[in-house]
Amino acid sequence: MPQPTDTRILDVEGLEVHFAQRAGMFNREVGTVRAVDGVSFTIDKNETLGLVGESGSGKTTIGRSILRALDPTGGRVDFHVGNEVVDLATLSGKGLRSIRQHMQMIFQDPYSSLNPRMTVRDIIAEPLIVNKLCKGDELEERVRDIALQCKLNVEHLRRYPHAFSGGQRQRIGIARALVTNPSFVVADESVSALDVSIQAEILNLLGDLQDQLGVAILFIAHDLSVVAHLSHRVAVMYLGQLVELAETGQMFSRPRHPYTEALLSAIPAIDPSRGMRRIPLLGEMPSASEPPSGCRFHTRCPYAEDRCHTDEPEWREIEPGRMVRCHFSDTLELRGADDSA
Amino acid sequence: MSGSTERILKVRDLGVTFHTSDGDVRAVDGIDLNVDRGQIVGLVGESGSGKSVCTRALIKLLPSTAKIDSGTVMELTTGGGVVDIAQIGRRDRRMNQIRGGEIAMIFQEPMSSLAPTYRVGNPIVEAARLHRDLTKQEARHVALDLLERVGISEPSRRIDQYPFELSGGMRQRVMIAVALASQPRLLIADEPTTALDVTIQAQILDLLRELRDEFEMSIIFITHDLGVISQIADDVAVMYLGKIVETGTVHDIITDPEHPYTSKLLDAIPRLDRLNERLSAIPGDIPSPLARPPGCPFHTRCEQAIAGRCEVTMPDPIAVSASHLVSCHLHDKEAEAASATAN
Repeated sequence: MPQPTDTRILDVEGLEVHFAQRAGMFNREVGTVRAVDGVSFTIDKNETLGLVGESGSGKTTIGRSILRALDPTGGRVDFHVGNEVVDLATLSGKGLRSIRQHMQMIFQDPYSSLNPRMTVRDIIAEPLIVNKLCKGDELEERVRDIALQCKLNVEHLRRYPHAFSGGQRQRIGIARALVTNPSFVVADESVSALDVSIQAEILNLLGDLQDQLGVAILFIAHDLSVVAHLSHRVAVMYLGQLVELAETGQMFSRPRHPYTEALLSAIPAIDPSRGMRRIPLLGEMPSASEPPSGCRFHTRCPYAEDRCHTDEPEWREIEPGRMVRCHFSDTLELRGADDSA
Repeated sequence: MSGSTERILKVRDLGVTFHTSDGDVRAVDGIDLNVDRGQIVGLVGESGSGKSVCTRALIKLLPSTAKIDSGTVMELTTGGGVVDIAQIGRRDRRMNQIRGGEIAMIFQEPMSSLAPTYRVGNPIVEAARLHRDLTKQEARHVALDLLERVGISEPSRRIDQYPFELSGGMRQRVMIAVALASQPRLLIADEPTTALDVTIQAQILDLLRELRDEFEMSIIFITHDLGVISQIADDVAVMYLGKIVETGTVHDIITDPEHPYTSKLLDAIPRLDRLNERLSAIPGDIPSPLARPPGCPFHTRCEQAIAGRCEVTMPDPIAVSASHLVSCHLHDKEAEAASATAN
């Protein structure tokens, strides 16, 4: 069991979430969807780890299983709270309930994630009441403080969500997530539903709040530019596994996994003269119930060799702090996002 | 696509008003738009800017609460004549020929735009037979060709599958095949890649460009994503609250924006080449269309607004170059100078 350290918040080791696939009249189990299949990473205090991947890669499942909205089927999730380390993957009942105030979620859709029948004050106060953290004047003060920090107008706390715009609603969602002063937050596509001008504001707000509160964030998104902007490190996911993890600048300027390279090349550059020099990915993502043999990416990899069809590459550290899952990371010359044509 | 500049669509002063229980909303507030043959025109704007309503008005796909209350939509027809779509009733026979025939449309949601109980080939065959007078056999061949053309593997197997058996990217390809079945001269693509992953998005953008080159088809491409626009559009129109505030070539708009809204929008996007810079958000929210601000619609959020002018009169479009029009009082001086030399 890892010892508490000054800097670490989360140690995820070999996390697995498998779903039983059922079919037929008696709901027999016909297969297993390996949504998350052996994922390991760490998050430090005050750090944002970006998690990217295509739809179906399992990135949302990771976030939900760490927060125990889903139960992991294997692995460890060591969460550092104060001087203690608890394994979130096996925690249950009272132990889990007492830990929930330290980890929260910011949702994607600011329209459906707020109860339309509750006032903004009630929405923000609910986590404090449920966790019995404070009441009375102390509670009101806490709600007002966090609302102010999230740049909400405290005069409007008695209104209902319908009176607010998308950007304001997302700020309400953020205030609700941060009101218990959590040390770890999962933000799952939290800015994807917003217009660019509002998105910029929310990204700035998340950055500011992290500086003020020191909260660690697992930032899940499919938009790589957004992830790059907010994250200190980025992890790339493909078919239930991480394929690369590195410091943001390094990852974008010099990817070490062919899938990362392909993803980066598909980002439309905001520069008409540049044009896209994308590396086409062949076909579609295979099914997570029957992942390909060997390297899971070999069916679409432009550099795949015989070995990739049979041997599964290890998740290995190629430089300090740089993890990759590819046999040929040391020899491939891959292009980053800012290489000119 | 220089050389031939045959104008196939000319929109002038188009206005669309929604009659709601809370009052009238003019969602499209007098816009001008030109589309040439083989040209890709990007229509950019945030939600509520009226970009979708405007293109739906072009093919009379508006809900019954909405009325076109001004303007003309002149379309150069296949035969060489010109019709004003704004004057044709939405259930008129002629409109049925234009909608889906001369002007086809693809939508954002590939998951919900295909009927789940029909085989994939069905809508393609239907569109081809409806608009091109083909036999069943011929139409099926057309459908197979199109499915192959849009990059669907094993078209002869896929054509008899149901939509649920296809991924999001493949469904969007099927939608494009449906739209192409009538050999349209103009394709309206409303956020066709927004729901797709970046890798699939890149494939669809490539496909649309190839189709444009091959068939000299024109495309109106609606999106909120300036990155996508800069990769696909020839000309761009930026919309804000029902008005087009700036038009120009893609270079004009992306590298040389003249309207404060356009430059703010560009600054708000996280860019990989400016990783550690703070994003500049646009202050405030988009005003409610029910309470449209007088004068320039952007003045409530504009840092350069000129008191006594911007909140009073709507600026006229001013040509800052041959291709580049901007509606902003900051350019009034240039407009005065231009009119002085003209006099």
